Amino acid sequence: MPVIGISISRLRQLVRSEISDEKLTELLDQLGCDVDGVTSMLRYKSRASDYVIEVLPSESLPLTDQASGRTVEKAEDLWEKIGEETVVRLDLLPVRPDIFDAGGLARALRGYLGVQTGLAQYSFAQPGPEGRWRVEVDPRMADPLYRRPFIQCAIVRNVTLDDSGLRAVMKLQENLHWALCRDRKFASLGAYDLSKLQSPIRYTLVDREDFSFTPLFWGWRGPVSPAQMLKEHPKGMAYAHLVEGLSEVPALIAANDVVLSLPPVINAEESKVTTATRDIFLDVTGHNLPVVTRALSLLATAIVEMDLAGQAQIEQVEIVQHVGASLDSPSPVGGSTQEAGQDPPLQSLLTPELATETYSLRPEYAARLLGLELSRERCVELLRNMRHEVHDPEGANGSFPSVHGGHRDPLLVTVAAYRNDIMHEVDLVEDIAVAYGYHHIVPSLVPSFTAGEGLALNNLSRKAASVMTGLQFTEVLSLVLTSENEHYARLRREESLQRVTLANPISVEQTMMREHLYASLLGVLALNMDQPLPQRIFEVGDVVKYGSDLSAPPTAASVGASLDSPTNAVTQDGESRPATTHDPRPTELRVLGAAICHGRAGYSEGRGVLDSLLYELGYLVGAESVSARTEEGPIHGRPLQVEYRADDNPTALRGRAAAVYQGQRRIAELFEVHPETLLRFGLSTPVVLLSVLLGENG
Amino acid sequence: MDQSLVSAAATELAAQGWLELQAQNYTELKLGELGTLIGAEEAELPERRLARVIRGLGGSASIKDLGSNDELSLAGIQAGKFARNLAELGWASFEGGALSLSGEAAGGEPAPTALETALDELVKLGGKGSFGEPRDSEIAALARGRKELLSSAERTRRSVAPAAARAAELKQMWDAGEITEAREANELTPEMLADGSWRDVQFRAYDVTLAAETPAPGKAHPLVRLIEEVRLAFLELGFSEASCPMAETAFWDFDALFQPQDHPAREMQDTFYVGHPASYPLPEAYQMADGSRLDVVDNVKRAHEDGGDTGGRGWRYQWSEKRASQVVLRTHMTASSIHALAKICQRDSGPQNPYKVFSIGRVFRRETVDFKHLPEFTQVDGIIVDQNASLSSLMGTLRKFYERMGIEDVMLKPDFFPYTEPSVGVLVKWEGRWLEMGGAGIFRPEVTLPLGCTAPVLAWGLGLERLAMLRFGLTAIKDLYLPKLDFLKGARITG
Repeated sequence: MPVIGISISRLRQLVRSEISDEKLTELLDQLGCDVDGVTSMLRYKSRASDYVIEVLPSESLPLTDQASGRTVEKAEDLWEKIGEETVVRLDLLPVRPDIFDAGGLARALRGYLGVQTGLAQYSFAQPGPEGRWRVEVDPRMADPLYRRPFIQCAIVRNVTLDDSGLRAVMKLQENLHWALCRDRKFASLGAYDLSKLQSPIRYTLVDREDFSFTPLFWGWRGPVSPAQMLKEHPKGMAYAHLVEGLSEVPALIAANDVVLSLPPVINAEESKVTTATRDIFLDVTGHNLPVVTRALSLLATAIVEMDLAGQAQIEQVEIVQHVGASLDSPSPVGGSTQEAGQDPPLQSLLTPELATETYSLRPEYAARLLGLELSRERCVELLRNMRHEVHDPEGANGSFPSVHGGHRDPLLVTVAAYRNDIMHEVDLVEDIAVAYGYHHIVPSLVPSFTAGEGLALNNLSRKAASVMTGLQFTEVLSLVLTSENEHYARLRREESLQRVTLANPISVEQTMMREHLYASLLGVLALNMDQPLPQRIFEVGDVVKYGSDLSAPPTAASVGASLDSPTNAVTQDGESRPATTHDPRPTELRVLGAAICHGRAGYSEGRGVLDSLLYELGYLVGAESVSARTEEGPIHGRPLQVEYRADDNPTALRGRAAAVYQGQRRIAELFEVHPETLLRFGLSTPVVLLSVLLGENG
Repeated sequence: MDQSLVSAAATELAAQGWLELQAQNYTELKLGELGTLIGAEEAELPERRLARVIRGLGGSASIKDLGSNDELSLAGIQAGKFARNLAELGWASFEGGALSLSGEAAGGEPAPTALETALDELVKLGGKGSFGEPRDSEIAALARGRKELLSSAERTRRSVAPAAARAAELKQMWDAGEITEAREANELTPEMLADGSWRDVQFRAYDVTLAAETPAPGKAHPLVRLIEEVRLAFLELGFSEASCPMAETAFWDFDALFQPQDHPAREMQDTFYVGHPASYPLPEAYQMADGSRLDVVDNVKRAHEDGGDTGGRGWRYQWSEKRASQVVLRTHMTASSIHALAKICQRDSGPQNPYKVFSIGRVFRRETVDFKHLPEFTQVDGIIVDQNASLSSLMGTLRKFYERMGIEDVMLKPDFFPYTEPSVGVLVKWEGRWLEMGGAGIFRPEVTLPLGCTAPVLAWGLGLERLAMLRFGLTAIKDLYLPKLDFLKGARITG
């Protein structure tokens, strides 16, 4: 999760309250921020471009300026220090992009502290003498091929940005791309210097090869084609996959032919925002309309909130596009205009809309769910502290209950456009809890009585383990995930055709779920070659296979060449099964496995241990006895008859392997490990392995 | 008498102050192999014998001829080995493979050498012994490099005498007959018990401060011990244990927990998807205990798409049954909790009765292996289903639970999880620092209502490895799952 440093002095100024660093950290914690600590942050500007970076005092400066691609030998030659300030570092919470920056945080803190409560109001500035700014959308943008049919824009006027503010706007865009826009897949944002542009702005397509512009921070390099930019610019390379296969790529171009950006990849150098910029043009393009709308609300209002002078104002932009381009467009203004000879008709929208949403909230529900005594008035107050507007249908005298069939009217809560995490009444209940303060909630316990009961399989597992520890075995744990090489090849076994494999393994060492514990046990012994002998270890673990006992799963050799995979199976009437067939479920078995490793480790020592274990688990080995049962599970009642049979086990020395059967069920195995297997695990001492089935999981 | 017994008794009496032990170092001289051989009458060097043989052969002889000389080989004297010595003594010159007598030796027997004199003296002592200093050192120096004739070794002579301070007391006791002879035994034997002789012996006192060989007990794995502690804590608090398969549909791991299908946690990047078996069928609609029919899958689908009957607005996308049927390795034990909740609601509509359930098990995340990360770890998850449950009782339960785990300092703060609202982050104080230890919250209505559950459900979970690593002082999670035996044997059960 990204970490962001928020300037404390800026935050204090914006909150309009003299709070100490310590108090501030505490407040942020109470609001649900993940405070990483307070530190100083150094700001440097590149001498090669005007790229600005921020580093912690403990971090070293990069030798390459990412923007210009310039590389130096001494970082001091590249970077000029332009500032230093104390910042509070926060781990960003993806669901709250409205508190990703000092402006948004200040908005929330003012409410929490009671400095300014209720809905944050953003009145729209009236268009200047040059008229309303317009964006004309090329009808081709509606084609799903280009993946970004939606565009919404805004202007923020009268902004004053210093280097730190400029950096904050860039950082916010970056973090919104991460948290909200899923790394630009759903939507992408851009900010530009309005004074460089002329209305109308065209949202159109340009040729991948036959077009030239100067990408952001590439003034030193000069104009290039989109294709070149995608191949060579750091941002181009990072986002080339989003325009892969397109011979024409989306672009925003102003009426004076100044390029704004090639969304979603990169902005242009000529229209970039600088500290001299006063009016900022914002765009969001994408294929996910709710995200596009939300992202614009977030960015536009955050920039207004960041403005220290408090003069910034949002101005709406008119988006002109063909009807049908958007599936679920914001409310049209002035209706759609149909021009002669043009089809489909044009539609014009004003963005940003900053539309609020209204939810009902039952104060009694909130009080009950939180376990608090909360009056209706207190709920209203707390919701306003969280910057919501509340309407009480029972009127200002809501303290006098108006009863409708035993129920009181819920409160109507208006939620700002920038809040991304409110989708249910219960989300507002949490806001009430946050405003109330988690630290003020008195803990209690549910008064109800319940009787606890452990899972029988887990109880049995611990009993079996206690037998092993009594026999001086040391318990080990290992991973359920393993690889074909470790699980089969090293054990001289053939790959099981029914093994449970991963579709997306992350390493060659973990590609499948284990079917037995032998490889894990030998692996642990191999790790402990430097430790004194004898070594006696055991593991109680789950294995995953088809079938409900320890029988070897089928391999290509065991089933012959005529194998059909289940999905190709043909039913008796000769009809193929439907393609939607699901796979059968494997069984998850609980197994106790043990290994004995020392110079004279042999079958008979293992046999003693296994017999001891089988006895404790309720089995009776040997000749049929009148006292033994032949059915039902072990442990309770009379012991269960089992017998040893010679076994053909490729991991074992020939003639030194046994399997224990309870009727037809293979419940245990015991063998001396084949020298080849020992060598494949790098072991130089004889090993005896055994395992016992304890039961089925789930 | 057995010297070790004398030594042990003397040491013990000295420790009690009755005797004084004295140790004296000396040099022990000993005739070597050839020294013994030639030490019959008067000692002579092998070189003297060699010179005599050469003289008998006319004053000059080749090494080859000397090699085959019977007298020399009988005495074990190899001419080649002593040729240089003969030259150094000035008794012969050595040229062209032949020795020719010279100087004193050319005329007849040379006078005895200093070494021969020393050997003579030693022979008289019986071939072994000491002359005292400085003679011992002189002789040792003469014989340096001639082990075959004479060797020397440093020895210690120990003696005991009554301690001067207590000699009078000892004599008095002796005279008074207070000191008597007694039999002392080291061990009590079955024979002593059988014949009653244990009555007549004294058992030697041991130095009980000395250590003996320590056996290593068989032990449960430290993480398993911690898991057992957690199980016990839950059982004592009235929770029943549940479990679910490790490989299960995404439906139970994500969808039933209201995690949208495009949620980053569900991406191939973070979650292991199973290649075979790739998909399982989703649960069929079923009859509830109160006779009503419940289609969990359809309810979950609608909760995701537009909120359904949950009162929310949903995630607003088209939910895919196919994506929900994909098999994943469980990413959290909340998958078990939600499974258990569905079963409870099927039996007991509402539910009317309170339930407390916990699950502990292995969970999987698609992480690259390094010292901090493994693709598997162990999680515990608990739920309380109760019409009277609230955020306040969640906080009380969390404090109680962590208290049982031996952690008193707990901070509960707002947090976010997709399936709980309100949500609680749990931090615990460890050596002065606040560490994130787990998450908690009340299941969202979009999670509980599709299962037919109208009661609030408190839920919390935590990974156990962090706790285990703190407790056992580990720095790498690998130490738990790829363990070294000395660590496992050394980790105290009280740790």
